[in-house]
Formats: sequence, structure tokens, C-alpha cells
Amino acid sequence: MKQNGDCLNVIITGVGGQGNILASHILATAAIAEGFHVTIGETYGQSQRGGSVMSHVRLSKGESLGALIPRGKAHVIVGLEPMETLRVAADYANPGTKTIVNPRPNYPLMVLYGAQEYPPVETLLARLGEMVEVVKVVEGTELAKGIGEAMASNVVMVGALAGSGWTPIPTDTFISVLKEVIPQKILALNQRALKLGIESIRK
Amino acid sequence: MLSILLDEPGKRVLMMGNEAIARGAIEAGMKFCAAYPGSPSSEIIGTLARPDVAENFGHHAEWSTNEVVALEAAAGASFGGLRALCAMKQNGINVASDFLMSVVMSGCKGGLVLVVADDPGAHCSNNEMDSRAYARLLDAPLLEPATIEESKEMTRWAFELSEELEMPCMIRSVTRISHARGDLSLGPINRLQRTPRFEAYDRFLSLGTVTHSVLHGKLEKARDIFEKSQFNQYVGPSGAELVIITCGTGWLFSREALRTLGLEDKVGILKLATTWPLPNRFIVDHLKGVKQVLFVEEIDPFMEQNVKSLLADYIGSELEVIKFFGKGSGHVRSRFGPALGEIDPDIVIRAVAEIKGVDYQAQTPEYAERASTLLSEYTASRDLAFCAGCPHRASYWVMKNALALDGRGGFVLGDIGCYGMGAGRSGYFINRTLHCMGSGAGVACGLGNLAKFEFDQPVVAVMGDSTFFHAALPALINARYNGAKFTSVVLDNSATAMTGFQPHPGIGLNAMGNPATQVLIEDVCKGLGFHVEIRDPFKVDEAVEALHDLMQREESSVLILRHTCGLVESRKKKKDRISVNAEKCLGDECGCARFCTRVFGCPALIWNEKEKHASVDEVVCTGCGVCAYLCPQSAIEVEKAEELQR
Amino acid sequence: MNKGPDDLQSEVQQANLCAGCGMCVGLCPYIKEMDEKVAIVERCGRSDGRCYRFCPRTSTDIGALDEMVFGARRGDAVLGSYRTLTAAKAANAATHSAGQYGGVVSALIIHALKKGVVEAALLTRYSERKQVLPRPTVARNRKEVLACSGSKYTAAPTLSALQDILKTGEKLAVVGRPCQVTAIRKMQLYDDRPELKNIKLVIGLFCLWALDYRRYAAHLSGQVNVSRIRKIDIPKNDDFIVYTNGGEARVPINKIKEFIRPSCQVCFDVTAELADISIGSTEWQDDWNTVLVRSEAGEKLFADALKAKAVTTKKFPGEREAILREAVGAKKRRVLKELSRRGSESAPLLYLKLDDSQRALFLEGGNK
Ligand SMILES: Cc1cc2nc3c(=O)[nH]c(=O)nc-3n(C[C@H](O)[C@H](O)[C@H](O)COP(=O)(O)OP(=O)(O)OC[C@H]3O[C@@H](n4cnc5c(N)ncnc54)[C@H](O)[C@@H]3O)c2cc1C
Ligand code: SF4
Ligand code: SF4
Repeated sequence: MKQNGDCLNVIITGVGGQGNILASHILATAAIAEGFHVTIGETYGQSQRGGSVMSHVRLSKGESLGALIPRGKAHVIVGLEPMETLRVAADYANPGTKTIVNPRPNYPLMVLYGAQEYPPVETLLARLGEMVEVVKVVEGTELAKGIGEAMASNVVMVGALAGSGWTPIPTDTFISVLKEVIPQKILALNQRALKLGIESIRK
Repeated sequence: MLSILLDEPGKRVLMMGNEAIARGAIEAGMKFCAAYPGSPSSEIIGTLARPDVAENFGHHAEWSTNEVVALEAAAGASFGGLRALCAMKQNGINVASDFLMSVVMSGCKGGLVLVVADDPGAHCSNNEMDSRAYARLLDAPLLEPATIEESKEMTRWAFELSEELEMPCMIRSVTRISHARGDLSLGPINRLQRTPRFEAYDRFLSLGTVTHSVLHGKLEKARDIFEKSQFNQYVGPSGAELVIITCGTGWLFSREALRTLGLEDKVGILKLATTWPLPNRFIVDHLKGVKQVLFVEEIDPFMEQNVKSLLADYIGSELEVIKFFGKGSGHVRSRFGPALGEIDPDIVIRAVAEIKGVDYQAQTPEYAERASTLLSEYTASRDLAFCAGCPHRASYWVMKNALALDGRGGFVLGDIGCYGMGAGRSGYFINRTLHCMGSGAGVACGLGNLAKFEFDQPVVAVMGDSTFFHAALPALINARYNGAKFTSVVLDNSATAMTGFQPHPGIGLNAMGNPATQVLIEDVCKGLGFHVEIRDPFKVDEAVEALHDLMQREESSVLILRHTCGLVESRKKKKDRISVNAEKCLGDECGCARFCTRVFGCPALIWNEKEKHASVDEVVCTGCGVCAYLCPQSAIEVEKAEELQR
Repeated sequence: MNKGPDDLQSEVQQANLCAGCGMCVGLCPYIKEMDEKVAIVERCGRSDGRCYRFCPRTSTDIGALDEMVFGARRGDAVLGSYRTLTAAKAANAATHSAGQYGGVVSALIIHALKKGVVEAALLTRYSERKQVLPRPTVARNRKEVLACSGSKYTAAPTLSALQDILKTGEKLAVVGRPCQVTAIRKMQLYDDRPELKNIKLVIGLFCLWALDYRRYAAHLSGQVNVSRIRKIDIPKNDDFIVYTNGGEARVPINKIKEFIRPSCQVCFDVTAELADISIGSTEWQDDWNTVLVRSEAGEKLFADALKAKAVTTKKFPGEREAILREAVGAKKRRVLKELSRRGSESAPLLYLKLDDSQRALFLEGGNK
């Protein structure tokens, strides 16, 4: 647990439809199981529709926190999409922030139309690296595709967070709370996704 | 098990604000709830309507056709003696306001609670408004929870309050509470068993000044109750020079601001949970000796102005001269300005820092500058778009084509909902008006009735399927009756997609997922005497021709563009695999010049700049196949799901 | 100077000059046609375009086109280049009776298909869904050709289907109005795609005007049961007559003329001057056609058809030729006047490019 009054601020960021909410839900459930107060603020007005989505997940002891993290106060950023990670970092990161990024781009409408450009992912990650302490690249989508469901990339990324050692929550807690959050039918798949994430960040 | 179902008092669980409100209602023994979906309020009834929830607690839950009907239905249940809940977003209260205005006067029997979820910052709305002004207008008690946990607690309390006062109570939530999640502790469930009965002496009448005066009496009673409410509290040192008066989300933001600035021992916070009528005495007592007051609230300076006018009677007698800060002084301002947009901890930190003359920087200036360069150089804006596979995209393409082919300067009148995006790039900028639900058809009643002034442009009104039932019907009847001529296009994606796929009267399922009488849009329209055509927007050419032909008719007509929302559909079945045959794709050549990516704009279609051809992002693609139909080169190929399985 | 779709839109479509030939529609996914109205639905972003170049209502260099088709500029300013002028009719009774007049168009197409000169013909027939609305059709046998017989008096955008058929690689005949023939020739002049070689035969119809579909159809549907139309004709100097299975309807010719497409008012070509063979009515015998055999390919086909007894001919009387010349010349003079009135310094005759010698030839009244 860190600065600013005994709390941990995590941002999970991505694009509508990437499963951001589920990802933050898993983290929050694990945190509650460890006795933390949790508040999640989600900016997802039109989450299904290609807009940016970010979840502020705030863990605290003692009392609950507001649903938004103050600027520059994110401890960890989990990026489900590289450009969104940079966007969020610009506002919420500081030189001590740690990040985990899925490098697979999701192109904004204006890029698809050819009106704007999507910079090379390597460049995005390099710039990000100049802003924060660590950038861990985890091929969430590719790993998830490998187990037959690209949509499970969000859970792979949570797995990476679980295995990172950057939260005060034991990795096993993430594994054990998964069944509270995910329907039985797709639990096995997501368990595999979570484990893939844990392994990949430990490599 | 879903935490809302648990009967384990004391257990700490994670809940979304809206679920917490729903749980509060359950803990209060609520038996009837109704709503029209609208973000950020939808999950309240959405949760209560879940078959497992409704069955377990034995309440009735419904998606009503619109907000006023929802409120009337809930009031009806209350008149019968049950505890009833009605939920809506800020737009909804405008729709419900006529009934609301009189039900506060008539009073009610069973606890009647109205939850309004505002959307500061308009994350999911076309308007930004502060519904709290209604409480004052209505003379109705207003509660503003500040945390997820309070959302539950105060909802439960609101039912008791309503019964004590014999009038409806209003709870105001906001996006950052309704759509936030937090941990809370479950309370006991009130297994209240009431047999509803409309007694011989029951009268619920709104009768002018007489009932108005009764209402004023109730309001004074509410004030007395509020003076003692646990939910109002003061935190901080005694004798503080500066006190923050706050409510709702402002509470935790203010706490964080003081903690961040290290001013917890110097500045006090007076948190109000009952913001109308104000607990006068409570406020005055806590401001003794205070010299500065900062108001922190979301959106309008509602509390700020009410408290200021209250204090005018006390300053110079019981209170010292106070300097006020807040929206009026400009200290509490979002990037749009004061009384605009949502507040956040940084806004409060800045306000307190300014007042106290403290230096605070969220990031060092060099860091902040680097960050802003990165933003401008490396990020592209993410405009909202219809989802991949969305039938609306095809429908808008259909309208664009039909209007061009008609060639008489026709235009489309829109309204809100997903297809409000029809005013933007994703809908080819087709919608030319954007107001409230059903307003496309209503406005068309005017523009479509100007022929005698030599107005000759064809008028098209779009409406969603759910909107059709919500508010478009009176306008359509008006068109028939008063002879307005326009073509209505009903975008029937068989769901209230904008707010999360709630069923509506056209679907044949009720809120709780049980079979319900299906009210077919085409039957209603035919009954009204309209010529009706139904097409699949994915069969673009047929749909274009149908719309074009309807526009040529002398009389008003209705085109139903029917195709299930891609998100609903892709939940149900395995998807077809769509891919681009790079050999055939002409791309930039004279021909389509990148039709699929540059023009049609489905988010699943990507332009491969290096290899100069389009490609399909299989993760985003829903397999709808409309691009394959539209690609002029037939370069997009479909492999059917059935074939893939083999 | 390059011009593209935006220019096509402003100079032709919005200027009410579109002849509804359909050429641009088939070229581009953003140009669409509905009920004979052509519109650009979306900008492709190009500043040059085939749509503009092939359109018969953009700069049309008659001299260059003549040279491409006939190897020489014309000597006859009224009827254009031709080898023979005859009267003809289909020999086969069924073909003859299905035809508008003599059925020669249908007979020649059937003959060309039979002999393998072509494998498919792009023709025009009534839509099955919309009444009196002509649509492009591909015919590959006698039955399909006869289904297209008879004149449809609106500006059918037949050529909208041309590009797709070209892709099949079949040898092709096209039957069209003069504007359509011009569009095909412009395409052949400015484009070198190999598949254009598949066009083996272009038969042009005489044409003084075509009607605006929307207004015409609306008027007719108030007059007759349009679903039962057998034939439509304009017997000389008479009303416009619609024969149906349940009687006939007459529309005074002056009423019908109100529906003429504005573009036809500035059309300089009456006899499909760039076709291989041009065919019209005779104006004196209802069951015969006037036939102008123009090109070498046309001559070969016509001679062959005659030999095979697919058509019969008779001499075209001198006094009828004079009447024909007078009628055609009158329209051309009217149009030329109108075009110079509307022309600008850069485009003195709007879309028409005539060099001085041709113009002089014409104004002198015409013959070599
Ligand atoms: C709009 C129009 C105006 C005409 N005006 C005149 C005129 O003023 N003077 C004159 O002498 N002749 C005119 N004609 C030509 C005449 O009507 C006959 O088409 C021609 O004489 C051939 O007769 P036929 O018996 O050989 O035709 P058929 O054997 O019946 O064959 C007719 C052919 O014409 C094609 N066709 C029919 N309608 C159209 C259309 N709208 N556009 C393109 N192709 C079509 C069909 O595909 C068919 O193959 C006009 C034709 C049209 C379509
Ligand atoms: S005349 Fe033909 S090519 Fe020109 S705009 Fe009209 S349809 Fe297109
Ligand atoms: S008059 Fe000219 S423009 Fe009109 S249809 Fe006939 S050939 Fe085409």
C-alpha cells in the first residue's frame, strides 16, 4: 500500500466492448475478499460504442474512497489497448506508475476513415515508457486467441495484474474469486485465461 | 450467488450503486417497481426485474412504456398500500413531471419512492440537467446519497419517510454513484406482507390550493425529521474557519481533497443528505463562527443557493459574516466552467487550495507538459460509433441513399437513443434534429405540414422501436389527424439497445423475461391508417427502394427497418467468419476508394495501409455480413458458421 | 483538365442535363439510380473520373468519336456517317409482331446470337416490380430478346448493367438510345480495358425525346391499368396511345410532352450517329423500320441477316428521306441554338464539341 493515505489506485483502460468492467470486477472482488474497501468508478457512458472506457479501482483500509482517482495518482494502469493506455497515463500517471499493456490496437473511427493516424505501437509503448516506471507488455489478445476466445483477453490482463505483485492481493485470491464473478459455463475458459496472464507476466 | 439475493445481514459485498438502490428497496419490503430504461438509472429496475430476484422477493417489476406511465403505475400500487419504487434518468422526470406535480399533492399510501439518476457530464445523455430543481418545484422531500452504501441505506429509509409523510419521496443519484461500484454491508430483509386494498375511504386527489397547503405542512414535517437525520453529518475540527458544505459525490471528493492537501484538521465538512427541504437548524448550528463556506455539489448550485438564502436570515445575528465560495464564485468549475459537467477530486482540491492559498500540483509542470504533448501527438479521438454489426449503420446508409436518390432536398428528423448517433459520422450526419424521445415524429408534424407555404422537401422522421411506444405514438396519431405528410422510419432492432437491451411491448417478453402480449409496431401503424412497409436494413437495396418509394407517396407512411441488434444476436448464435480477399480488394483505385473503411465505417473493418487493402478485425466483427453485401468488388467473403463447424 | 464526380454532379446532374443513360451508375459504387434519377450518394474524393469522362453530357468531341468508329469525320451533318439507308422489317412473324415497328432490332439481335457474333445482348425490359419502369436486362436467346421488344418511352438507364456484363467476358451487343450509344463510344475512346473489346455490336435507336419516369408513371397510373399494357405508340401526328389488354388510353401528345426529360431538349443526336446500325420508325408504315447501316461491323451483320432471311428490306423512298432529314435537321437546329445560348466561353456549346468545319457543314444544311 502506498502514498496518499493507505490506498491503491488502479486504472483499467480500454475501448468499449473489451470487457473492462468484468476485469475491474474481478480485481474488486479479490480485494474485498482480502478485507479492503473498494470503490470502482467507471467511465463508460456508451461503452458498447467504440468510446474510451476506463475503470478507476480504488482499494483502501479504513474508509471508502470516491469513485474517481485524482490526476497523477494512479499506482498501476492496466491497458487493454495501447493508445488508451497512453491517454490515461497522460492524465493519471506519475513517474512511479507501473503499467501492463495489451499491445493490440483497436482503431478509432477517425483512423478507420483515414482522417487521423494510429501511431506505430512500438512508438506508443516507447513514449509510455518515458512517462512511467515500468511497461510490461502482455499479448492479451494473442494469448486469449490461443485458448480459442479472443474476448477473454481482459481476463488474461487481470491475470497479469494478479501475477505482477503490484497489488496487496495474493495471486491465489484472484484465482479463487473468479467463480464468484464468472458464470459456471465459461469459468474453465476464464480460469485458463487468468493463469495465462499470471504466467506471462512472470516470464 | 448474486449478492442482491443474499439474506446474510452484515456480509460485505460489492455492488453497483444502482444495485445498492435496488437492494435498499428489497430491504424495505418494496413490492412493485416500474421504470422506463435510461442510463444511468437502468440497472435499478434491471436488477429487480431479474427473474431470480423478482421470484425470490415476490415483487412485480416492469418496463413501462414511458416514465409517466411507470410513475403512475408505481403510484397505483402505493395507493393500494404496497411499497413501490419508480426509477428514471433525468430526461424521464421531465416526461413524468405532470403526474408528479399532482401526486405530491394527492399524497400516497404505501411508501412511494422515485429515484432519479442524473448524468453530470452527460456521459450517456444528450442533455445535462440537475433534477433537484424539481424537488423544490414539487415541494417534495429530496435525499442525496453520497456513497454506494448510503444509496442502499437511504433508499430503505425513503420508504419509511414516504409513509410517515404520506407523500412520495425523491432520491437523487448521479452517474458516479449509480454506475460506480463499492463494498457495502447487507442489511436484513423486511419480509413485509401487505394485502393491497383500495379502501372505501381512500381518496388521492390533487385539489388546488387546498392540497397545496396540506403539502406545505408535510414539507415542514419533513424538515423536522431531517434535522435529526443520521445521514447529515459534520466532520472536522470545531472552530474551523472554512467549512465545505457538500452532498452526493462531493462528500468523498471533499474528504480526499482535504486529505491530499493535509487540511483535515483545519477545514470542516458539513455533509447534507437531505437537500430539500433543508435542515435549517442543523446547518445554522454548524456554521457558528465560520467565516468561509465552500459549496461542493453537482451540477447546478442548487444547495448553494438554497443555503445562501437560508443564511441571509442568520448572518449578522447568530452567524458571522461569511464569504461564500462555490459555483457562484467560480471556484468549483469543471473544464467547461462552473455549473457545467461533473466534478471530480481535482476540482475540489483546486478550489480548496485556491481558497487556502496552498500550492498544489497533481503532476510536475514538466511532466504535465510532456503528457499533454503525448496526448496531442499520439492519441486519436475516439468518436462514438454504431457497434460492429449494428443494423443502424445499415439503416442510416439506406436513408442516405434514399434521400440522395429522391433528390428533392429531403432530410431526417431524429431523436435520442443509439440512433442519436445518426447526427454524427457513424450515421453519415443524417439526423438533422436531436431533442427528446419521439421528437422526430413530433417535429415532422410541423415541417410535414407546410405544403401550403410551398414547402416541398420530403420529411423523414426516425424513431427507435422502443421510442415508438414511448412517445412517438401521439405524434403519429397527430400526423394522421392533422394531415402532416412525412415518412416515418422505425429502426427496429428489437431491443432498447442504448440502455442495455431491455424488452419493450413489441418484443413479446416482459421485464422479468416472461412471455407477454406482443404489440406489433406494424399492427399499430396499420390500425392508425398508415401504409406500412417492413424491410431488413441489411438487404440494403430493397430497403433503399422501399424508403424511396414511400417518400414519393402523397400520404404519410411508415417504414420499419427490422433487424435484431448485433449485440443481442451475437450473444445468441455462433458468428459467420468474414474476411477480405486481398486480391479482389481495389482499395484506393477508382472504384470504391475504400468504401468499407472510409465511408461505411464499421469498426471491424480496418484499412491495411502497408498492403493497401482492407481487412476484418475478427475480434470486433459480429459476422453480420452487410459489408460483404455492400462491397462493390465483392472482395469481402463470408464463411457461414455452420460450415466453419464442420 | 481533369474533372470528376463533383463536376459531374454540378455540371450534369444538378444542371438537369443527365440523360439517364446509366453509364456512370455502373462505373461507381457511389453513383446510384432509382426510378431513372441518378445521384451521387457519397464523394469518392477523386478529382478525375471515368464517370465524368464517359458521360454523354460532358465534353463530347464528335470529330474524335467519328474517327474512332468510322475512321473519318462525317460528311453528313444531319444523319452522320452511314453506308445505307433502307426500310426493313423482321422476316419472322412472331418477331415482327412483338417488335415496336418492324421488329428489326430484335431480329438482328436474335440473328447475332444465333450466329455467335455475340453471346449476350444488353437490352431493356419492363420491371416486374414497378409499372412502366424499364430496367436493364441481359438476353442470351430468342425468348429473352423478344421479352425486351417494344419501346419504353422513358430514359431507361440500361448502361448501368454494362460493366458487370463486360466482366463475364461474353461477346456483347448493346441496344440503346443515342445518348447511350455516345456514352459507350466515349468509354471506348477514353478507356483501354481489354474487356471493352467484348462489345461487338452497338445498335442505336432513333430518339427525339424520352420521358421523366416519375411524372409519366404518375400520370399514366391515373389513366389506365398500367399492369396490363401491351404496347405504347405514337402514330404519326396523333395522340400518345397506350394499348392495354382491356382497351386503350390516349394522352394528347402535348400533355405527354410536358413530361419530357429536360436533358432531351438539348440532345443533338436523333439517329444514334455513332452506332453500328441505327433503327427507327418509318413514319409512314407502322410495321416497317428505318435502318441506317453505319459501320463496317454493322454492314456485315445486316448483310448476313438479309442473306439468312432474318430481315427483309425495301427501298427507302427519296421523298421520305427528305422528310426524315427535315425532322432531324429541325431538332438539331433548335438544339444548337439552345446550346449556344447556354454555352460559356470555355464551352461554347455546353457539352458538345464541334469543330468549325463541322459546324459550318451543319449550318449550311448538311450534305457532303
Ligand atoms: C425513348 C425512345 C424514343 C424514341 N423516339 C423515336 C422517334 O422519335 N422516332 C423514331 O423513329 N424512333 C424512335 N424510337 C425508336 C422506336 O421506338 C423503335 O425502338 C425502333 O424503331 C426500333 O423498332 P423495332 O420494331 O425494331 O423494335 P424492337 O424489335 O421492339 O426492339 C426495341 C428495342 O429497344 C430497346 N429499348 C426499348 N426501350 C428502350 C429505352 N427506353 N431505352 C433503350 N432501349 C430501349 C429494347 O431493348 C429492344 O431491344 C424511340 C425509342 C425510344 C426507346
Ligand atoms: S447522362 Fe449518363 S453518364 Fe451522364 S450523369 Fe446521367 S447517367 Fe451518368
Ligand atoms: S433525346 Fe437524347 S438524351 Fe433524350 S433519351 Fe433520347 S438520346 Fe437520350
